[in-house]
Amino acid sequence: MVESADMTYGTGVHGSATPGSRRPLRLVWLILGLALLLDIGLGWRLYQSQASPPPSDPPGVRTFAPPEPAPYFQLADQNGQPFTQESLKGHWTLMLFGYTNCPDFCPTTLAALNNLYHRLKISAPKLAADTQVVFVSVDPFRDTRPVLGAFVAQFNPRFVAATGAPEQLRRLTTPLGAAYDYADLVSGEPLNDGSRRPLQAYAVDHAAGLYIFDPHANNVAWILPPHTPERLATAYQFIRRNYD
Amino acid sequence: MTRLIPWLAIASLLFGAGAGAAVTVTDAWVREAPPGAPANAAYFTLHNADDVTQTLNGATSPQFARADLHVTHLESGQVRMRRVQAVEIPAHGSLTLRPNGYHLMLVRARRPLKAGERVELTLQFKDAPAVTVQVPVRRGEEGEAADSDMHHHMNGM
Repeated sequence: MVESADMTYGTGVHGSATPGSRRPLRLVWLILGLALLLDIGLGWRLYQSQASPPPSDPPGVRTFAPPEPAPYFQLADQNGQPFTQESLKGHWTLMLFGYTNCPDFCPTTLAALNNLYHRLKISAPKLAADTQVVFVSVDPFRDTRPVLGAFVAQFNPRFVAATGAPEQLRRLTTPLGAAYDYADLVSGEPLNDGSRRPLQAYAVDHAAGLYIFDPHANNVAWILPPHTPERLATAYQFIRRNYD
Repeated sequence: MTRLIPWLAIASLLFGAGAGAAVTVTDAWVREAPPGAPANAAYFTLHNADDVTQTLNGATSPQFARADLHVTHLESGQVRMRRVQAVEIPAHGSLTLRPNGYHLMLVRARRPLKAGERVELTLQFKDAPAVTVQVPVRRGEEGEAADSDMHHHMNGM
């Protein structure tokens, strides 16, 4: 297939070439013309990418078209069961990243997600029934299974908590654009990429957004902070209306 | 019980010293954390009645191993928490420690605290007497609702 395509292309180029002294000049015009077309094309794409968010997205929501399939990863949940890209299938998922030594942002967001869950149970029970909330700890060194399980259970016993080996966490976070880094808690100096436990007191700088997966494990949207219950309810119901 | 007595004595001394102080504390709450959680966050508003800036530069609680001032900020799509040495309260002004801003991180509860219980907090200032307050423990959502004065249609379950 590749060979025949190359041959066709080759024939085309030879066919358009004219013999004689004007040939180099024509070739220059052709190259200039192609460059101009390419430039317009690139410019248009750049313009389109800068014109985000599309006017239809409510504040704090980015929808992805086409959606990004979830990468392959292997974590374990608070019950010791495998948690992989397969665990995202068959229902919708709201995924957030954090760690239990985070007493401010992570509990605030989990409390808001619990509030969202109860709102949906009343106003849209079907949505509540097929939505799972997953808290992924990017601090596997401190967040052992019991610590992680108790942490999420306090907000909602239905919430899933998962973590795993640093390289498995990277397999999930990197393609999602949910990078995390370990930093000195006081100076903020970068320590390492999360591959080993730092010796000093450390903070885990983690993604602030919520990642929404459809029942086919595609990352269809992203919700930006602040994660207030009101904003989450508007954003999530908008996303569901768009895809259901 | 006997271990509590010196703490109570110190607390009452500090509380006495704090009465009529330059800095007062309102709207304080501690977020409930699950048993075994490494930390709880405390939030409050500091009011400075003085003509000069006051600086909160330390805190202790007999119910916790340590209390550190922290700030949370968003940068490049990431949440970043850092320890800070001090926070300033402007003259005749106030400073609010609230979720996703400043908080006092209470490290390692000596015993898990449930919503409804109280945490004794002593706040130390660079140029003002220390203030001791009894702070209620709340679940996050209630605490936030009270903190932001927002009306929430919730807790119906």
